[in-house]
Amino acid sequence: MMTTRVKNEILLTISTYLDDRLSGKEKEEFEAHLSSDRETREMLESLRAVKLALSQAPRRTAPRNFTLTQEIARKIKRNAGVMPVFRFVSATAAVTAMLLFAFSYLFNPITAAAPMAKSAQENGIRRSAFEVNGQPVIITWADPYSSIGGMGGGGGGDVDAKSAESFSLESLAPAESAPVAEAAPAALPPELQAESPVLDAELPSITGSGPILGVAPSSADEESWDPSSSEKLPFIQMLDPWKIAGLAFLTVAILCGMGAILAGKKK
Amino acid sequence: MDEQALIPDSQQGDLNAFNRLVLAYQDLAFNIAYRMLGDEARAEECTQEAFFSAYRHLGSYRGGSFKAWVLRMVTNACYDELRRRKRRPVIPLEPLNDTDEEIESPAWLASSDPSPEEVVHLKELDTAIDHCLSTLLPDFRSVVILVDVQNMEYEEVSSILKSPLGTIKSRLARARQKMRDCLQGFEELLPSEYRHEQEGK
Repeated sequence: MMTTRVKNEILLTISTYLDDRLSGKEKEEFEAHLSSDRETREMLESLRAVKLALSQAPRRTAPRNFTLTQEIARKIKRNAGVMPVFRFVSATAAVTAMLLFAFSYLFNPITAAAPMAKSAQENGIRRSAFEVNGQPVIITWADPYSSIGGMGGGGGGDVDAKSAESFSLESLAPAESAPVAEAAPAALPPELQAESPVLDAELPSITGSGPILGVAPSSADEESWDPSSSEKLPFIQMLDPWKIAGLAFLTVAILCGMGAILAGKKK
Repeated sequence: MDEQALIPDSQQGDLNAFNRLVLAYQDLAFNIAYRMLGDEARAEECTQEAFFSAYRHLGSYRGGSFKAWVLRMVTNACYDELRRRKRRPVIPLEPLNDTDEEIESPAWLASSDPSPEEVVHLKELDTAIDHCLSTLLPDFRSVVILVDVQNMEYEEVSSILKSPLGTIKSRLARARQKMRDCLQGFEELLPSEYRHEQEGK
């Protein structure tokens, strides 16, 4: 069973033999192979017939003369003069536009701030290292005995007795005005836990979801920060001069490219 | 015609000299375009475009075979036309029967193999060759047209198509094989040598 590759090689040899383009040695070898292989002989004859048929195909004469008139020749020369200019301008403008976009990326204050953003991300990772057992560090800013502060909320089921007790322990940590960082309930020392029941009794019971400590409630006169405010910048302010120049050059490149195509098509 | 004298004259802007070169090659150019496209009107357009292009680029001609240089313009124009045709395929009109009525559902139009009806219509070898050439890919078609129809040498074809000699040889072999497979459907139109060979099997 012949592989496709062998078949293709034999076909190539037959075809080249037909045109008498095999070297002396190749020709001898092929003719020896021909005498012993019927399939190759048949293939040779059928390809010879195809070659003959194609060479007998009738020739046509041109239906008209394709000579150029003075007017057409002038037009072609004029377009031939314009086209290279369009091509050159188009190519140059395209390269300039690419360079400008590259500069825009390198020197843009937003993209250049990428390393700072990375640093901030690393800080975030470091901060998370303070978390105990996956719980965030709890920071109390005010007198914990007066009320339960924070902006608790969020969904969730009722707090069970155990978690409520845990909460009171956290909240009733040493009453100081300065912020105190405490570990999550699981990390509290046992002696502190032993003192907590007295204080626990004076606290109102908590139902609902567990509190989430965070930013203190903002007063009405405080100016709130809208994280999405940067997205509301007008489009033009988001473009730096590099980008504007790049867009201008890109437009020139496209227009000149179209001009070159049109000049090439004009007869 | 002194081709070697006409070329520099043409390059210096002598339109008459260029037109004499056009007259020398227009039949060959048209024949190649016709076999490539299988359509007389399109072949005419491509031949004209090729000579326009040759005139436009006369300055870039740097010696060698002028014939090969001109025919490269022709084959390039044909490739462009075939690409355009591929992008915007022409939907053929519904064929008519003997009583000038439209034949419904002419499914045979979509097939590259000749159906019995098609064979009846393709009475001439010329038409059969056109049909079989149209089934080849353009790169293969151009090689078989230049070598087998126009009887050109491998080297000349290699220069026209700007392809290595090995590529020309292998494309020719495969194109001939495809042509053989296709022409077997038109056996009675083929040269008697071919028929005897088939009958002897």
